[in-house]
Formats: sequence, C-alpha cells, structure tokens
Amino acid sequence: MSSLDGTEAEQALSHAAQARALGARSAARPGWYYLVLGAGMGWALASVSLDRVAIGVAIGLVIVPLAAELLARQQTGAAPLQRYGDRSVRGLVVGYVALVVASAVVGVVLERAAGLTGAAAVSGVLVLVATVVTGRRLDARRASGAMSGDPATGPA
Amino acid sequence: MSGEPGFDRVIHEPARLRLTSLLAGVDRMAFPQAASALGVTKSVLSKHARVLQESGYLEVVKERQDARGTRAWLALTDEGRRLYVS
Repeated sequence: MSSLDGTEAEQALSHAAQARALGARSAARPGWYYLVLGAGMGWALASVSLDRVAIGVAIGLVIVPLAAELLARQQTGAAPLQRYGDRSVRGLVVGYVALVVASAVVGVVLERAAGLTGAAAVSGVLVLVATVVTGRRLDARRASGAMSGDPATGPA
Repeated sequence: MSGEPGFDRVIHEPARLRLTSLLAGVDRMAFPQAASALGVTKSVLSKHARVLQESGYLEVVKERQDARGTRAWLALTDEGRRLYVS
C-alpha cells in the first residue's frame, strides 16, 4: 500500500469514525428486546407470589433471555459489546443491579416472611420497568460513546 | 508488518480501517450486515476480512442459523481490538 497524504489520512479517519458509530447504532437492541427481557425477570419474581418458583425461574431467567438474545441477533445482524465495566456505563449497570437485588429481596421477604400477598409480583413489575429504562439508556450511551470516537469513553 | 511507528499496513489500509472501526463498536456482526453497512460487495468484504483474519486481527465464526444453513459472524480478536484502540 502506498503512503497516504494528509488529506487522504484525514478522510480515512473520518470514514473510520463514521463506521464505528454505524456499528454501535446497528448493534442497538430492537425495541421489544428489553421489554421481553424485563418481562422474563419480572415473571421469575412474580412466580414467588404464584408459588411456582422453579418454573418461573427456568422460564424467566433462562429460556426467555436466551431466546430474546438469539432473536435480537438474528433481527439486527449484530451483537453489542458486553462490556459493562466501561466508564461510560458502569454507574448505570451498578445502579440497575442494586435496584434489582433490592427489589427482589424486599419483595420476597415481604411475601414470605411478612405474608404480604403479591409483594413479589409488585417487585417483578418494578424490575420490568427498570430493565426497559436501563437497557435503552445503555444502548444510547454505547452509541454516543462510539460517536465520540474516544476509546476511553467509548465502548472499545 | 509496520513501516512507521504506530502504523500497521494490514489494519490501517483505509478499507480495512473502516471494517475494523465498524467491528470495534460491536461484539460481532453478521457478514451480510457488515457488507451492507460498508457499502461493499460480499467478495470485497471477504478479501479484506481474509487479510485481517490471516494476521490474527479478526475471526470468522460460523453459527447454525436455522434449517436454511449457517450464518458467518465477523468479530475483532483481542489483538485486533487492542491495536485499533492504540
């Protein structure tokens, strides 16, 4: 390959930045993905209220996430980076995990120890909403990180 | 492989830099989607992907899709990702 002059190099870098942003955008999950994922997690929690924990966990935490992942990848033709420790998304992920764990613990304790019927199902709804909101923000941050082109804040 | 410090002829050739950049924003991308995103034919993409693959910067993973057959996915290797960021 011959050497690039300044203009060609600048153009190549500009095209590279556009390609990177395009990649991140195309890997964004389809609109239904986080709703289905959240519904699965919510269902797993609600199964405590229905006294169907084993089947609830198997469907909500194993079958639904696996099926959603496969379908999303088939639909978009891309899979997003699974780097949840990156600076740009770390706070979001930690907050989400803390909220889900706290909701699950409070819901199950209220349901089982305090006898408050339906408490786990209410926690399940909270987890569903948190999953949808967090998932969409996660996609938005990944895309904006990729567009900034900064490896420190971007997803690379 | 490299003529100047920090310059790798394999990865920094403009067409391959675009492919590498596209893949840097994702975990993996299906072959047809990558060709379409870059606006190149599958044979052109295949040629550049092979060069990157032979240098250890890219891997091609074939995954059974359904009864119709398999789907090829392109992904940067750790080495390719490291070089891209640097």
